[in-house]
Amino acid sequence: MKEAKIFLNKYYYLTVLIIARNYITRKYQDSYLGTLWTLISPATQITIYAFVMPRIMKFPSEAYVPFLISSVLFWTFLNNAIVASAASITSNAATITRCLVSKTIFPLAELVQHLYSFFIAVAIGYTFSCFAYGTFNIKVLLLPLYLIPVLMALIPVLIAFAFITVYIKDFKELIAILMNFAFWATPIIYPIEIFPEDKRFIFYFNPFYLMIKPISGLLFRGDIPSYMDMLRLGILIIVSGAVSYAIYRKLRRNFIFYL
Amino acid sequence: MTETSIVLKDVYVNGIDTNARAAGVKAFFLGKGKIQSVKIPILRGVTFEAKHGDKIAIIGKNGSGKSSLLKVISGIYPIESGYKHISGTVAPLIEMGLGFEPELSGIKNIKLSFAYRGKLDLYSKKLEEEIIEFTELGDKIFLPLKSYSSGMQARLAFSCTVFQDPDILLLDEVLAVGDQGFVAKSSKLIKERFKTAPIAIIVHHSIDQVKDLCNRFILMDGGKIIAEGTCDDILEQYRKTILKI
Repeated sequence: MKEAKIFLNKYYYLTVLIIARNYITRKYQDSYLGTLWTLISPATQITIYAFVMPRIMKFPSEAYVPFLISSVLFWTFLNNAIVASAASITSNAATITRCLVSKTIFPLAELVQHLYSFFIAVAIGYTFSCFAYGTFNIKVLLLPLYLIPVLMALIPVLIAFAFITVYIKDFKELIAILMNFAFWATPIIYPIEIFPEDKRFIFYFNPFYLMIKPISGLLFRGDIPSYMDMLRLGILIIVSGAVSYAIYRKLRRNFIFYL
Repeated sequence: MTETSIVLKDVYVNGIDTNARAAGVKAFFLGKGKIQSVKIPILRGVTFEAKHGDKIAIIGKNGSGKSSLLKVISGIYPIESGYKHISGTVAPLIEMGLGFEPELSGIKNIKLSFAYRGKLDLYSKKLEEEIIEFTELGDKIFLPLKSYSSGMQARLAFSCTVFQDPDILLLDEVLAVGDQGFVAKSSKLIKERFKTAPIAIIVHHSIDQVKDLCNRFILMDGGKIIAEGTCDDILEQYRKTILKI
């Protein structure tokens, strides 16, 4: 199978890394604060939410900042990776219509770029959380391990979105709007505990919650994801993989003429 | 080992008029029409074969389908119908400076150029040194590309493009660039590459400039191959049919 051959080639991943490094260099070239900007935006958000939300929603504010750090930083990564990947092929049209590499490299390079920013933001944010709130837990070192299934669920979607945007140029704007809805529909700035226990199952139909829960739980309290969490994530990997692959197969053939 | 070959049979390639398509989508939502893809014929029933030892010149006016044929052979354009079989590695020297990043140094752009061409497996420090030596850029190779003159950028772009050793070499128009000395040097290198490649195809406006390099001559017009023959035959037909002189 042609795709399997491409995805098993080490040069494919090396190309992703080279292009991602190029994106990072370009993004922060001549910037005074450089990659620190990856933390400043979510830090501002966290500060505002930490001040406003407990007053509006009337939930206990102790440990709210560490909760926000654990969830907002990961959400920022998800949001940025999805929005940037959706535009990754159309924004590189001039190069893509001339180059011979697999075009799936471009959404993956965006993912790597935002993953890099996420790790920097988490390193700084978690260190702050540990010193200010004493939340350190050794299990946080397992973060890269639990990121693997999340990325497995995310990557096919990013590729599919990038190809859809080539055919429907409005799709990237639509995604940005949908991500705004998803932000409020996912327990990111409010804890799931504010909902009655018998209603919480609804969130298990939200793919963003399935991806965020294992990571934010690990960062917040050092919770190891349960078997059920991993099973749900496994189902998400299968569904997102199957649907995205069907979209990719359908759209990849003639996309060059739509750029 | 399979011998290097190119086989295209009755190949059709169609592009899409995306502006007309977008207008169709708007009309559909306003209830004034339906969504339809407006096709633009690019290649129409092209049948073409090449085997080991073929050095082919394809000539024709702008928009005749010459470059599109190279893009089909190199795999950039998909075919809509027909049969295509390519055996051997392909290096399309179609676009120079592909993926160049102004903020990065010349040396980093060499690697980036190989990455965008899908040729990272060929990249090595030795090859990088050969490319740098050929560009004659010296220590300037460590400076950002944005500080290069257009001539220096062209030298680097040419060198990154031409340092490949493929089974099938595809050249689009003249690639020789830079000052007079570098033009002579780069033309010599292109001719060497053209001679040593098992199959080489060059696309050109003018047959005179490529007649010494090739042993097959093809004339294209309107997305079709309209003639194949000796240099003189094709030249005469080109003048009569295309230039109408």
